[in-house]
Formats: sequence, structure tokens, C-alpha cells
Amino acid sequence: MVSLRTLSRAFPVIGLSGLLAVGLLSPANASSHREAPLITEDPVADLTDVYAFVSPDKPDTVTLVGNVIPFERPAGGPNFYKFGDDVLYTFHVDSDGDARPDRDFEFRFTTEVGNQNTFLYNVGPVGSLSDPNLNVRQTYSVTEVTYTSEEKGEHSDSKKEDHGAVRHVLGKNIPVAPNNVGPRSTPNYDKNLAQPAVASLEDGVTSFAGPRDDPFFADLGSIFDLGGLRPFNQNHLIKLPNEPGEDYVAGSNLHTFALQVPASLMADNGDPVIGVWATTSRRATRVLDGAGGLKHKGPWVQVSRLGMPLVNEVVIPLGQKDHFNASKPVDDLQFAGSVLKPELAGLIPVLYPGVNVPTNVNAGLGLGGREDIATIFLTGIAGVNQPKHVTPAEMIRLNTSTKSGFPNGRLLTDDVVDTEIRALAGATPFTPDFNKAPNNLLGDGVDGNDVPLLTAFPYLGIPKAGYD
Amino acid sequence: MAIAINPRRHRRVGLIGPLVCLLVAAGAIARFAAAGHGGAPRSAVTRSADPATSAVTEAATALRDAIETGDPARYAAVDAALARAGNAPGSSGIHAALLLSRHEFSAARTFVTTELQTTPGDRALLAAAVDASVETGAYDAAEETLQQLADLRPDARALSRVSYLRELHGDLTGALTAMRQAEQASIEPSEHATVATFLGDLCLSVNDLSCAQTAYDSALRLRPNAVGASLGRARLLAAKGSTSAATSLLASLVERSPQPAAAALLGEMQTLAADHEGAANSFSIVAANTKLLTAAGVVTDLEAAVFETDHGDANRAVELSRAAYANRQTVFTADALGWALTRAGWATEAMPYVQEATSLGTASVAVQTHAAAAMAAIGDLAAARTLLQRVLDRNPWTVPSVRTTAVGLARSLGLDLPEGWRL
Repeated sequence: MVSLRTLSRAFPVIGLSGLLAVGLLSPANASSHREAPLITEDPVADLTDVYAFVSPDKPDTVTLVGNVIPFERPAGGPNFYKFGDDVLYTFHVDSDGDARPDRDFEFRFTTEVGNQNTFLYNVGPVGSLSDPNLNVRQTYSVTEVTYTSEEKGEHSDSKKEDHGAVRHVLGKNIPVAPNNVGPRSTPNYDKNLAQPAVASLEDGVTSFAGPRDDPFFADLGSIFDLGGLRPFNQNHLIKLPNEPGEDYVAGSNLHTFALQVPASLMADNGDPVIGVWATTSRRATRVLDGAGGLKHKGPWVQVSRLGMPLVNEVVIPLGQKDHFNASKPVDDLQFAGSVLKPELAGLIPVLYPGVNVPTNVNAGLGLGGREDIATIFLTGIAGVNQPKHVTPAEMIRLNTSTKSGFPNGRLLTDDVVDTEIRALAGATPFTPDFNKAPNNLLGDGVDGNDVPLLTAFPYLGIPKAGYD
Repeated sequence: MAIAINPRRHRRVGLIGPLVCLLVAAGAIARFAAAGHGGAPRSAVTRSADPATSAVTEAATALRDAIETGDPARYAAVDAALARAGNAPGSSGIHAALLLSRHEFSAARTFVTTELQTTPGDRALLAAAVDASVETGAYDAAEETLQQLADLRPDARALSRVSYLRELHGDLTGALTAMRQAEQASIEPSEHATVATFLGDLCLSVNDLSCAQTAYDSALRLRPNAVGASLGRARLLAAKGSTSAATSLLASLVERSPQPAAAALLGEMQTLAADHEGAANSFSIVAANTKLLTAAGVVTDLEAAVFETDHGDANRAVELSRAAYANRQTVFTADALGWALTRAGWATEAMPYVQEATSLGTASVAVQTHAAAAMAAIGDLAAARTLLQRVLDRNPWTVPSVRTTAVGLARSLGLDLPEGWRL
């Protein structure tokens, strides 16, 4: 059932490259023919998860986490993973529920290679962030953009870039935590290289950027196999023995950019509920510009957008994925049809005969269809995480004055796969008739991460070393 | 998608109902699976996936291997996997890439045009449409489609193609800029290696040897068996004047993977070194492996024509070049026909094709040298000098057959040769 976001992230359709045979064939004039590579994916700029929660150890702050580059193999050398120097990573915060950002936090990265004559990531043990043995180092800046006029939310994708926006650099030249190579290259990794990468910026903001363990957990292998949920194998149309779930995301790292921001800085409109989403953007390019003069000068093109988990899989049809990734929350009513009639909800009774799900749920939106799903994904739940004045839009809605827990914000530990499967099956307070067994027990049987989380910012677990 | 199937209704028709349900479910799951977030393929994850979706992944891997190793026998695995993939999401992109890889450019263009009507925003198909347009000479259409692709997502897929289109239009600086951006944006090892190889080739064409060295080294670190990068390294050695090292690298490359491109270059190097027996052997490898490629469904019309012009019979070369040009009118098929006619002594007849070959301003040593030779042959020595001087000023490394022509022509036109162009 419910192929979730996990599905999309698990199928890296392959980094297909193509020095297509053309280039290899032409006998004498080897430069005559050549086709560009058939590259299918852009993991450096593809957001896989966004988390937003009231920091458990510092409840007057909110932690924002954005993740990219899923399924990093810890032994990534000699070409270790890093953020894109040519990618803009942004957190957007809506403080008044109008579906436009009131404040953005932008991350930009720069890579420096110490010794150009070696391909080595490090040329000896790396004991600290400033150790010269670290040959490839990345730094970043964090800029706060505050929108003050009615033009707010126009995002930096046009000539309006600075219209009504105040830009303030919170910190620059901040070191990115290096990759966890192994005990010889990066001994005492977390203490020596990851913790020191937690930086204090202006305005009481704390930041981190670098590799971490992927906190996401899900039984992708079974879900792929005709929507299987191992604990419910006996209920599936094709029966197998029931068994516990297997975490197919275990053992892989990713790259995290994260902030800890005083809640007062964001919930500043007399409403404790904020909306959070992240985007990535690349520079636009003219194919033929005469002299190649547009290097890193084009406007930004938004290429990935993520707020609520699994939205691209649960409610946005595949054909609209690129369109969604380029879209803005303020225009989200265009997706309302997909949210009100989630295709995957209809698969549950097909694959699990006897499990019935609701098709119409009235939550007072006056739209018809699954208004419960629309409430969870688009407006937030009244009295919990709905802004005082809300324009329906897809983003994480977080009430900064209470404890977090999906769908009120998203914690690293939240089992969003189970929660969303059950929500699709109607196992929520919206529909008491469906909020019972087996609907409210459905799940993939994977209930937590394989690696312990930290108790303090950035909270994500220590990345696995290539050596391990 | 017909998700509102009522299971109860299907129970009455026995097995058919559940089967339909399963197909519906498999289709939906596969579609979502193909939404793809990237990263390296993980066998652990793909192991129990929907069979059709796995087959798409297999086809893609097999095609990548076929391209990277240059082994045409591997196309059979691509065909087999694609057959199992059926209409699974992503399969049409691989199918288009396979057609391109076999040089069935017109068929590829027809195919992607049809497919794009159903899925207009599919970036894999848009990229294939760009390639097919370029290879059939529809340069304006290629630019338009590529701009659409770059506007959707200016990633490595778009940027590497931007680079090639700029190169074709003679903008080497812009091509280098875009390929460096593409290199920045590619992370998967085989993608990165491919883009780095292209970057190395561009560096060679502007005579920046250290840039080429870095690029080929980085490609070979990631994909030690990549034929394109090995060939690049051999050309770099030749450009540095390490002729014997280049020759032995090519010999070992040809032994491992008898690529026509590598074997032809080896033969030319051996000819230069007066190893005529070795050269004859290398050229016979070119012929034999071109036949193998043809047997594997690869169209080699243009490559065969160019080879015949440089190393075979002049009249036969004209015949083959005419056939290649009839198939598709590109700057390179026009160059092949113009050059074949010039070599056969019909430079006047070659003129329209020479003009077509230079119409985009492509900064290709071969195209520019051939054009200069044709101009000299019809007696327009001023035009010949101007054209050839552009090549000499850029001073790039090029294959010996082209360089021999250029050097001979420069001497007869009284032009000074740059350092390193003495044969």
C-alpha cells in the first residue's frame, strides 16, 4: 500500500551516464560526435526530508533540519560527498499563515582544495576542523532574509529578488563537518570534527552542516513488493508469513543542513504556529549566450521543494512531481484535487481485502473528498497546529508553544510511514468509524532508527565511517 | 488510475479480479517508485522491488556498462531487460537512450516526439530529444528543447548538453564553463567520470594540457575501465609528445577492448612511427569491430565513411559519405562528404558541403582543416589561409591524419607552424 516517499527515494533509477557509444565510435575524428550524458538524478539538490520541532533540550528554540544526498555509502572515497557549491539551500518560514515566507534562511557552500596535486580527501589523520591534513574542505554562509512588504514570498527567482527583503548575514566561512572516513583518517570523529562544526551565529541562531546518519526508517523492500507490510503479510492479497519489518535505510548516511532558531524570532506575529518548508535552487542557464558570460550569474531556479514527509508520493501524482518541485505554497490550491482524493488510499482495500477506508470525510473545509487528509497536509489541525488565519498550503505546521510530534511539526523519531498509512486508512479522530483495528494498527513494522540520536543539536546520529 | 475498484465485484469473476487489482497496484507503486530521489543504486533496496521497475533499473545499468566499456555485445542485455520492463515508468527514457546509442537518430527522434506527447515534461525524454535533434542536424530545435530542459532543472544532464551545443557553435569558452558546472553538479561516480572525460576533451581542444590531465585522472579514479577516459589519456600523452607511451597505452586499451576509435588512433600513431605492419593490423581491427558493431545493431555510416576517406579508397569514401549525408544532414556528415569529395579531386562539388559543415562555426580541427584544404583546392588561397590560421592559433592536439593534412597545407600556404606541430 501506500508506496510512500520512501519509494521514490529508494529507486534512484540509477545514475545513468552515457558516454554514448557515439563518442567511442568515430574513428579518426574522435571529437566529431558526442552526446551528452543521460543523467537521471540530481541528489545534491534533491531534498529527501525536512524536520521542524521544538528543541527538546531548549524549548524556547525551534530546530530545522534539511536532508539531501540519500543513500550515501559511507565508503564514498576517493570522491567523497559534499554539498553543491552551485546550489542554494533555503528554509522558509511562514509566521502568519498566508502561505508566503516571512523569513528565509539561506545556505551557500564553497569548496576549497588544499593541494591540487593529490586526489586524496585527507593526507594524514585529521584531528580538528582546521587540520591542514584535511585536503578538501567546505565552508558555508547562512543569510537571513526578512520579507517586509506585500511582495514577501516572491522568493529570489526574479528581478524582485530584493524587493521588500532585508538580507542579513548570520554567519560566514563556517566549516562543514568533513566525511567520517575511518579511525585512521578521522579518529574520534564526533568529538573532534562534528561537534566543533556546531556554530553559534548572530541573533542566537546555531547552525550545523555536514554528513550524518540518515534518521529516516522504513521497510522499503517490502513496500516495494506490491505494497507489502510484513507484520500484515497474512492480510495481503498474496499471503506470506507475518514477520517483523526490516529497515532498508539503515546503514546509510546523508548530508544535513540544520539550524536552531529562537522561537521568538519566527513566531513573531502573535501566533505560536509557524509553517516551515525547504527548497533548493540552481542557477538558470542560457543554452547559447554568445560567450559563456553567464557563469553563476543567472537567476535562481527552484528545483526541489519539501515540507510534509512523503507528500510527493502520497498526494502528488508522479506526473506533477517536477511541477510541484518548482511550485510555491501560495499556489497550492492547484494540488487540492490530488489531496482530497489520494490515489494511494484507494489501494489499501485492494491489497488488503477487508480493510476499508473512507472516501469522503467532512472536516468543515467545504471541498468534499478526503478533507481529513487536506487538513493534515494543507491547513493544520484546529486547536493544535492551525494558524489563526490560514491559507491552505503544503508545509510543516508547527505549534511552537507545545511539544512537537507529527503532524504537529516533525521529530526525527516520528514514524511518519505508519502515521500516514493509518491516516490514509482513516485511523484518526476525524473518522471514529475507521479508527479501529486493523486500520489503526497498520504499519511497516519498522518503528525507529538503527543508530541512536544525539540528545543535543544537531540531534542526528553519528555518520557511519567508511572503515566500519 | 482506476483505483476505485470494488473488490467484491471482482470476486464474482474468479481470479481475474485480484489479478487486475494487483496490476493496478503494481502500476501505481512502480510509478511512484520511479519518482526517484537519486543516490547510488542499492541492491539491497532493489532486490524485492516490483519486477518491471527492477527491469528498468537493470536496463539502465546494462546500457551504462555497454557505453562505458564500448562492448556492443552488452546491448543484448539491455534489449532483454527492456522487454521485461514493458511500459514501466522510466523505460521509454532508456529505450530512447538505446536508440541513440545505436545511432538510430531518426528513429530516436520519432520515438521521443511521440512519447513526449503523453509525458511532456519528462526530463529524460527531453534530453533524448535534444540529442536526437543534434544528431539529425535540427540545431534550432535542439536549442529550443534544451532551453526548456535547462529551465526545468539546470542540472548536470542539462548543463553537459549546454556545453556540447556551445561547442558545436564554436563557443569553447562557454562550453568549458558549462561543462565545469556540469562536473560540479554530478555526484554519481559514473556520471561524474563521464562529465570529467568530456571536460578533458574540451581542455585538449584549447590546448590546456594540465586541465585535461586533471579531468582524465579524476574520471579514471572513479571508473578505471572507462574507455573514453583511457582514450583521452592516450591522446593527452600524444599531445605532450610522449608518443611511445601513448602508443603502448593505446595498444593495451585495444587489447582489452577493441574500440574502433582507439584502434584507428593506434594505427595512425604506428603509421607515424613507420610501423606499417602494426598499423595495418590496427586498421584491420577497426574494420572487424565496425562489423561487430553493425551486427549488434549499431549504425556506423558516418564513422565508416570518415575512416574510408582517411585510410581507404577515395571513390568508395565518396559513396559512403553520400550515404551518411543522405541519412542525416549535420555539420559532421556534411564535413565527411565535403572532405571525401575534396580528396577524390572534386573540390568544386564539395563547396556546398564545406559551407554547411562550417555553418555553425564549430571549432573542430578536422572540420576547419578540411574546409581550408577544400578552399586551397579550388584556388581560394586567402580563404584557406584564414581558416587554417584559426586552427594553428588555437594549437590543439588532434589526430595524426588531420594534423598531417594541416601541416602539409600550412607548408604549401606558407604559414608558420606552432611549436609541436612538426611531424
